[in-house]
Amino acid sequence: MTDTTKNLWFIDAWAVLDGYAFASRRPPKSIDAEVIFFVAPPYFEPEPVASLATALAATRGHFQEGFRDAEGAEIGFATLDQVIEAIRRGYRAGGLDLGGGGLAVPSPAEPLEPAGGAGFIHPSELVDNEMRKTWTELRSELTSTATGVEHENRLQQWLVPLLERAMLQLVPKFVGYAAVGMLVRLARTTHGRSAATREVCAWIDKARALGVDVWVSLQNPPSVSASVVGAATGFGWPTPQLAALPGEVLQFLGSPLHQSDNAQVSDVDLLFNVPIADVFQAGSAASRYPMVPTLGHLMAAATADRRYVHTVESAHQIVPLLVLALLQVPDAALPHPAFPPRSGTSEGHDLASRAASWLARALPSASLHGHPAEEALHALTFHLLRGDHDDEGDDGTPARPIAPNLPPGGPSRPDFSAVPSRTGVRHVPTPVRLG
Amino acid sequence: MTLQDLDPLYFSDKPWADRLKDWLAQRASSQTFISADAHAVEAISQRPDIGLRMAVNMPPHALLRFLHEGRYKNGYELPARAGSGKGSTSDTRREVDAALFPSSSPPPAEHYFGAAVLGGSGVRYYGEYCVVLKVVADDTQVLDRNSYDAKFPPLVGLESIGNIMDRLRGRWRRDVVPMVKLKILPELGVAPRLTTAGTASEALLHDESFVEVHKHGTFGPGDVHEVRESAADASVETDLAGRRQRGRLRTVEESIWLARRHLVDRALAAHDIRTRIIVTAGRTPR
Repeated sequence: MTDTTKNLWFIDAWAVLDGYAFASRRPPKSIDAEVIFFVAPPYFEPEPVASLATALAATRGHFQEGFRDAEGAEIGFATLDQVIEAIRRGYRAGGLDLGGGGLAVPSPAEPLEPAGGAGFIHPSELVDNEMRKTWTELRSELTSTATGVEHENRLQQWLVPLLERAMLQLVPKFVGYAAVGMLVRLARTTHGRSAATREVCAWIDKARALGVDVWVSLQNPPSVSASVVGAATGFGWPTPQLAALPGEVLQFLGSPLHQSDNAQVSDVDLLFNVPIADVFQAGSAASRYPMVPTLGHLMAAATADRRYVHTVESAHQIVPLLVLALLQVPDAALPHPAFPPRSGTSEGHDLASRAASWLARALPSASLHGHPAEEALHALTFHLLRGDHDDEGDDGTPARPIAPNLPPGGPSRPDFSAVPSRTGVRHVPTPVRLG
Repeated sequence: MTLQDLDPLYFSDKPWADRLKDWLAQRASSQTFISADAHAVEAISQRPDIGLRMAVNMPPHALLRFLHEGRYKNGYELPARAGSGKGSTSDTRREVDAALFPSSSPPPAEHYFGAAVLGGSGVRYYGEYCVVLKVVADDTQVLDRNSYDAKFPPLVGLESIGNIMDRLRGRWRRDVVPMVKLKILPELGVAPRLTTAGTASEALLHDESFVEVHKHGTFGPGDVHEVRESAADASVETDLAGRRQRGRLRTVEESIWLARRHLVDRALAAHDIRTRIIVTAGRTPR
């Protein structure tokens, strides 16, 4: 007879990137299970299974047999909740290989300017004292081993003010960088231009709904600029690569007349096409996290691997996660364009609250702290981010590059003059550096 | 106790066709519709649309990999994704495989497991997409149940695992139809009504219970007859889209799940593979 009071939970069969798994409570290396459960996405609700034979048969195909340490010993879990957390996070990591062909990344853009050039504003310069203080509190909560609803509420409590402050400058800065990356990619694209145009149009539309205007000028020299809706100042990027774009493209960028066309880009597809510039990547020097190419990949990596938020060193490096959270708010819950979500408005606060609520729940909890699964999930995430292709005897497509090679910074003197607007040509006063 | 003590007709050492004949004869007087039902199952199993085929259920990532790589891989070919791969072939598996594929057979690593299906969407525990193959070689080995059942009560320990497998195995052309009938007919009960395709499909592959098929050699997208998915998954997809339209935020898992489904849809179309949503087993709305 099995001593049911001492048994741990073990994973019997696990399709890691698909989030399908069978787990049972039993002695290690035994098939004498007291109870067996099955979980699968999208809800991961445990479902009882009558026979362990059903679980074992899963390993005939794409389920790995068990979960083992380097010595081949089965790794147990104290609770079923812990098992489900590991399976759920393995599934999230699978977002790094969404299509089954390895890490898929939009083709890289070339650098637009050297780092630290004249007028270069590094995002870290846009972090004020108030943000710094909030970030310190948030980081302490993010790296604590606390779990549960109270922990999530505390996270949310610090995320809301951080989001509201970031929406003033850092979010527009991120949005502009991403638009530059997508536009340069479009300018260099000969195959799939229609899809790339829809993606950049969808990004500009979405940014506008989040309170950030993106302007594109093909006049000599071509440039891209981004600012809070209605603000007189913003950030600009000279973008000579855009000279290769036909002028007709401009009338489609952000025009409400074409939003139905842009709607063909799903909200999730959009995430995997919004690049994260180098200046926003997490960590530095030896502690740098591997390059996360897009917001979609960030959603996968940061919610699977707890090490990501531990690597974030300063407030500006959390901005990609803040933008990711803002993008989760569906169109139906965004403010009407007549009331853009500016910082300090109720619309801005509501938007920040919704995004913070999502992010506080999406980030991995510390429930696997100290458990071998934590390290295994970290290793899996790194493995996928590096584009390693590991099947024995695999002769599939080699992994594609992971670094988007986006420009490192934006100038402080953008050309805002004669920038085409959504409905024609808009003249914007000469900008000054924000902050 | 031996296997035959469990059920002398079913576990006899006769060919499957004879076991079926004996089973039907025993019930001919009390179950007056059973012979007609047996003919109906035979007719259903030969239908080109929902007839008897081998199917492999795959979750979305596995299906996308299959389409991307152009061949299906079995458990022996895939590495452990999380944790170490050391010790990943358990003693239980070695024992079952040795009994399933004795030395006269090709080795276990050359076999690809599936289930026999009629019109249903397969074993959902193994994946939401039921990949149905066009043909199965006549001499393909079949087992009347999940081979791991031999390691659990009431079968385990009755006889050697080799003897148990010998009694439960057959070949596709010669044995699968009587084997399938012996699985379906007891489920139909004694109702004075002829069975239907939907009822027969559900009885053949019900929840965790299936007839196992051991295909020798792998297969590729060109070997796929169609891909079936359940109406339940399609309705979850619609529900998630509707909730977002009403302003609800999705979880990370919901976003990944939806994105993958869209990729699967595109990939299947690119490979010109027919897809069907199964509402009731054996019935398709499109």
